[in-house]
Formats: sequence, C-alpha cells, structure tokens
Amino acid sequence: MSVAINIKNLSRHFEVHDKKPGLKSSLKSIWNRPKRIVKAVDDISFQIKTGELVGFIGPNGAGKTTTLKCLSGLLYPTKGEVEVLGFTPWHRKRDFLKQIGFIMGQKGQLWWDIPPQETFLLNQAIYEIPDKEYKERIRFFRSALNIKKEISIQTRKLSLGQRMKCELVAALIHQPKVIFLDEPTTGLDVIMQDKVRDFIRDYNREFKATIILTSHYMKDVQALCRRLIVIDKGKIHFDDLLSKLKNGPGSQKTLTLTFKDEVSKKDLKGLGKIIKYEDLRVTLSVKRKNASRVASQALEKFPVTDLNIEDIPIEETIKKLFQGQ
Amino acid sequence: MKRLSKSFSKANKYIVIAKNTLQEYFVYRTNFFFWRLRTFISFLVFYFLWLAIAHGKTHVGSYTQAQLYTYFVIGYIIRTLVFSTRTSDLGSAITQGSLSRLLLKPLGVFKFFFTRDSVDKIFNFFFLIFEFSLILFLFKPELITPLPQNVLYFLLSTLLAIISFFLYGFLIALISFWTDTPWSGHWLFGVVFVNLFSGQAIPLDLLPQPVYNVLINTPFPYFYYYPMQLFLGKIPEAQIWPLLAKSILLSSLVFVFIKSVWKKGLIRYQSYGN
Repeated sequence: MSVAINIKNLSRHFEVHDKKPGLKSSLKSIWNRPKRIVKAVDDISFQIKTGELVGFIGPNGAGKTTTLKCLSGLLYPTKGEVEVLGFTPWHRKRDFLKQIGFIMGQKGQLWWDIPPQETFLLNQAIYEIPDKEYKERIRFFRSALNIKKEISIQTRKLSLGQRMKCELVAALIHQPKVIFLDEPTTGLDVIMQDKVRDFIRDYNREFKATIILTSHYMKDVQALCRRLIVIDKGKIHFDDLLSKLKNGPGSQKTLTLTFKDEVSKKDLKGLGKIIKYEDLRVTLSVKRKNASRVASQALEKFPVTDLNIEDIPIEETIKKLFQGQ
Repeated sequence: MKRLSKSFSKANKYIVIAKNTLQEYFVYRTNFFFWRLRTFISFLVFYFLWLAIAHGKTHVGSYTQAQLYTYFVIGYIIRTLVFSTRTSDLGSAITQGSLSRLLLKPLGVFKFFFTRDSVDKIFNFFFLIFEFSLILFLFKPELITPLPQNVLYFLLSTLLAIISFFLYGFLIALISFWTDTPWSGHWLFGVVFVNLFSGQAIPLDLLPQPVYNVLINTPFPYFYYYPMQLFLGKIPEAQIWPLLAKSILLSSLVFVFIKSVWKKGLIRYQSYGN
C-alpha cells in the first residue's frame, strides 16, 4: 500500500503575547509586549498509508489541529517536511487542493445566510463536477446521511446535527482522496454521533479515502480507527494499533469484588491497587496479565459473592499516557 | 474547443460566487437599505454645504455654480460605484481564520473578493439609478452639459478608480496578517483619507496650493477628483492620456505589491479557530 501522508520532523511554533491581568498591565502592553514561543507541534514524524483511517487524539492544545492545518496547507511549518499525495501542502497546488477535504467541527464552510444546496452548487463549480455525477453524488449523500429538506433551508436555521450532515456533503462532494476530520462529532447528540460515525466508516470503505480523525470522544476513535496517534504538548506519545494500547504490557483491568462479610483494606493489600472501597464492595486495579490469578486468589481467600472483571476504559489508559504513567 | 470549455468552467465558479453573493444581499435587505441611506445622506450634506457656499456667487475658485453642482451631483455615481467595497471582509477573514475556508479550495482568493466586490457594485448601481433620478427630480440642479469625449474619459477613469480602489482596499486588508485589528486600517484609509483627500468633500484645487501639490501626488485624487475633472473638461487634452496611464501604472504597481505581500502574509497566517 502506498504512502498518502508522510511527515518528517514537523514543527510549528507560534509567537504569543503574555499579558498579566489588570488595567495596569494593559497600559504597559501598549509599548511593551513580552513575547513567548509556543511549540504547538514539536518535531513529530509519522506516515499514513493510502486508505488508512487513523485516530489522532490529544487534550486541548495538544497540537492536533495545528498538525492537520500543516497537512492541508493552511499553515507553513516552522521546520520539517510534509508530503501529502506527493505534494507539499503549503504550495497549494490546484491538483493537491482538488484531492483534499477538511471538516472543521467548529468552523463550517457552508454559506451562513443561504441554503446548503447553494454551497454544494458552488463546490460543484469549483471542483468541476459534471452535472450527472453531481446529481448522483447528492443522491448518495442524501440517502447515506438521511438528508431531507434541510439542504434547501437557510444554513443558520439548521440544527447543529443537520448542519454537520450538510458540512460533510460540502466537504466530500468532490470525493477527496485525503480527508481531515477535526472533531466532526463535537456537540452532536448520541444518535447523530452514531450516524456520523457510520457514515465515515462506510465512506472510508467505499472510496478508500485516507482519513485522519481527531476527536474528544474516544467512542469515535474506538468505533472507526485501527491505528491511533496520541499527541500531547506537540509531541507524539503513542503511534500504533489501538488494540496495543488496550492490551499492551502496562494495560490494566478492574476487578470488582462483592463480599458476604466485611473485608479489611489491610487484607486486600497485595491483590492490587484499591480504587474504591465501600462496605462490602471493593474495586481494584490490576495488571491485565495478572487479572485471572488475582481473581482466583480473591475467590480462595475471601467470602466473595460476586466478581466482575472489566477493561479499564480507554480514556483512563490515555489519561495515564498523558500523565506519563 | 477543449481549452474554451476549460476556461468557461473556471469562470463558472466565479459566476456561482456572484449568484450566492447576490442571494446574501437579498437576506440583508435592511443592512443594504441603511448603507444606501448613509451614502445618500452624506451626499446631501456636501451638496447643501456647497449650495450654501456658492449661493449668490458666480464662481467659487475656478468653478462656476453649474460646475460645482455637477461636481457633487455626478460625483454621486463615483460615491456609489467606487467607494462601495467588500475588501474589509478579507481583513476580518484573516484575523478570524475564516480565510481557511477559501484557502482549502482550488480558488483564487483575489478573484473571489473581486467577484464579490463587482456584485456589490452592480447591486448598488440599480439603487443608484433610482436615487439619481430622485436627486434630479427633487433638486433640479443646474448641471453642465459635458462633451461626449469627456463623458467617455469620465467613464474610463471611473472604471480605473473602481479597480484601483479595490486594489488599495485589498492591500490594506492584507495588513491583518500582521495585526489583529483589521478595521483600523480600513477606517483610516477608506473613511478618513478617502473622505478628505479624494476630493469628494472639497474639490482639491480649492485647497491651499501646497496641500494641493502634495495631494495630487498621492493615489487619492484618482478615486474622485480626476474623474470629475475629466467630466467637467477641466483637464487639457494633452494631459488626459498621461493621467490615465499614470493611474494604470499605479494600479499595476499595487497589484504586483499585493502579490508579494500576499505570499509573505500566507507564511504568517495563523488560521485561528478550529
């Protein structure tokens, strides 16, 4: 499989002004503005193969969107090399721009005061899509996203969910080969999140598009991505299969034990880390590989009436990753 | 044939942009109405002011009463067509990050804004016909009858003024790549400088000679003063083509400068917002 995206030692720094609170500091800032360099992206490298759907996650300000903006040519990097479909993005070549799509969850491309169909028609003209194909694609999107009358209603009068569906159409009508999805499900209700997820999955399968997805919802990433890249403070902390993060050597499970009689904390010491301790119930965190052994030890030693073993939620694993644990 | 169809499809996107822009105007009817009202009122202010100044006099400076009224009444066409511009939207798009929407598409940002500006002028033009008729009907101003060639020079210089005003506006908007306050530049250029120095408030040759000498060496007289001088036939035949050529040259230089500033600006572009 060929490489669609290749990043080598990419860095993007921003200069920001520091200002202390208060009027005095505001007055001072008229002639003296202390500057600071923020390393939004700091020397990252990775490759993405054609047709891959990769999750790109990190906390707020981690550098996700900045990376996507460098990949799409919106930002010039401070240093490093980037190739997307063989193009240097910030050269903004016509053939490159015709093959990418960028969906920004917070910043749409639909014209605010006129119905979405007018934006679609504009995109048809921009991407030079023949009439017949355009109609077929609109039909496809309407059925895949269950879009009805909303395309003929003024954009500003649409609900967030309706708008996001139309944003997807506007960004994908030219069938881009590389798609940057920046928090496409933010603010959507659970049902709409599911619909958008299903659509992204189907689209990736049908059109073999290379997709990078950023999201704050781990459900998005778990449902869609095999590979995960975790970024924080501009550095990549993890780049591998999602399953490896879940089942890796450091991965944990939780053991919830319910007892017939009270068991002291002291007696439970040695089994694992106590997360929660209630009257007759205790929740322990244990290493995945030791989970079965600890469970049988507990069953032997204590009056256990109920036992439950669960994977630690992926959010917890990632939180630990960010905390360097 | 293939090349022709390709250039048509390239032009087609700007036709659709024009259509969408026009649709936006119909949404913001009140906004547009107030803009027209503002233009009309500011015309009335200057018209009545000069009516009062010229009252009882045969000449004001080198202008007869009829020439002076013509200067302001015909100047209403310039106010409408030259000074209506959407270039300040570019400044906001840069500082707020919405420029990204355009940069992600195979689309010329310059052409995009030029299309929107042209639509703005066409829309304003329809109102101009009505308002101009209203001015003639209400005030029945005593106007001069220009020579046909002077009308042609006037139209040509107005067209050049439209283009150069757009170019300067575009250039001013590009300052937003370096500063977060796009409106200050537009306010200074579009409101203060243009109002004072283009001749729309005072015919520049009525100003003290040293001030006049400075101002005619700036781009501002090309927006209003010179087109009106051409209409009034106050510029000698031999100076007309060099004047128009100078206007074209200035615009060409600004265009080249825009290209260079645009390239440097894109490197600094921060694409704010997700």
